[in-house]
Amino acid sequence: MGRAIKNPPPVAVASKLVATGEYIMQQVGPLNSDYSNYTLWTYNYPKQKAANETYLYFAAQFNSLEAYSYAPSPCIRCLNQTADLYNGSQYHFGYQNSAEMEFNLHTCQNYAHSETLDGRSANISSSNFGVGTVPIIIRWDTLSGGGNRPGHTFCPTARAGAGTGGSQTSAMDSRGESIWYGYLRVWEIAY
Amino acid sequence: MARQLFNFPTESITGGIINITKYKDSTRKAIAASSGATGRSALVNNFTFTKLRNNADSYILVTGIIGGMGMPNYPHIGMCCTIDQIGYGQTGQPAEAPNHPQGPAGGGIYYCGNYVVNEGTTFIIHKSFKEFILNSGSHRLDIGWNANSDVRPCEYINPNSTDNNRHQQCATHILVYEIAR
Repeated sequence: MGRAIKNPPPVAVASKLVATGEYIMQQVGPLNSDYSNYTLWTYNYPKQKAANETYLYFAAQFNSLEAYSYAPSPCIRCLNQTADLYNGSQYHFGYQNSAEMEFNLHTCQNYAHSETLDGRSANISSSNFGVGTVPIIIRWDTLSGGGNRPGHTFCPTARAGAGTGGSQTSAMDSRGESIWYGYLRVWEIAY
Repeated sequence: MARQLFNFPTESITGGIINITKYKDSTRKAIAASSGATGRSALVNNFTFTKLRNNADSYILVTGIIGGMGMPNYPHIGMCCTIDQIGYGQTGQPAEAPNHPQGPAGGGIYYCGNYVVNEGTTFIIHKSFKEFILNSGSHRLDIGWNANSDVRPCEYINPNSTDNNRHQQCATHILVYEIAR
């Protein structure tokens, strides 16, 4: 005699989402000098599945004090990623009367995969993408190697105030009474 | 004698991600001022993707970033983001979008920048197509603007060292999510 199942659940929808992680970004800086490259934050994401089972998509939004023009955008990627390092990131800086003003809005998103994905070759080695810690970084790299700052104080804490060495540090005030956290989200997605 | 299961839970997974399609464009491209249908695909032109389920089962969500350079125009120039050219909205040349109702193509893409040569313009794309009727099969995504005069939201997309020797090659990055209803 077979099993009888009453009121079975509706057909479930298979989801590509395997796991998700988050990292709350706190103040970096004031950066009182320029840097040709700088890693703002590192999130050691605990990957749940093997390199050939899942890939990672990540996104982050944050602000920084004191506007700077021309500087390369901080970009999000895996530490060991070997291609597509500068995809999907941009920032907008305040500007008024031919001067950089106030602060910047940063937005970043990217992904890393060790298997061919949508016809594109892998951009991270499987040895760096298995179960366990996969470092995800937000960092800028200046192509020409010169010094730059796409912001002076990132995710400022309360009453952050001004540092030194910037062109508009007087625009960095200390009135804020909350910490201007940034949020980084990681989605681990099945192939 | 076999087990009998009564009152089995009726919950199922909702809102699951069924599929994700990626769009990447890492080629620096000059953006020409244009009006009408030309501008509607100026930023993303006829990107095709496959929807796996019918409209009753899933909808599409599009998110992404386009890196731009220079912002030469006044802000309200009819930015639009749509699938299958649906709902391009107000147009002085309706023949350019036959059988498409007005409205829902608009919005879902936002940008801001400085009117300064070689300065960044940031585009953010975030749009739900839950109200659209999109069945399984091949579809196209187009992003641009719909204006009644020749305008452009930026001078270049995907800028690189040609614009400033400090810049890496930037790339547009867009994800098309198919999500269970």
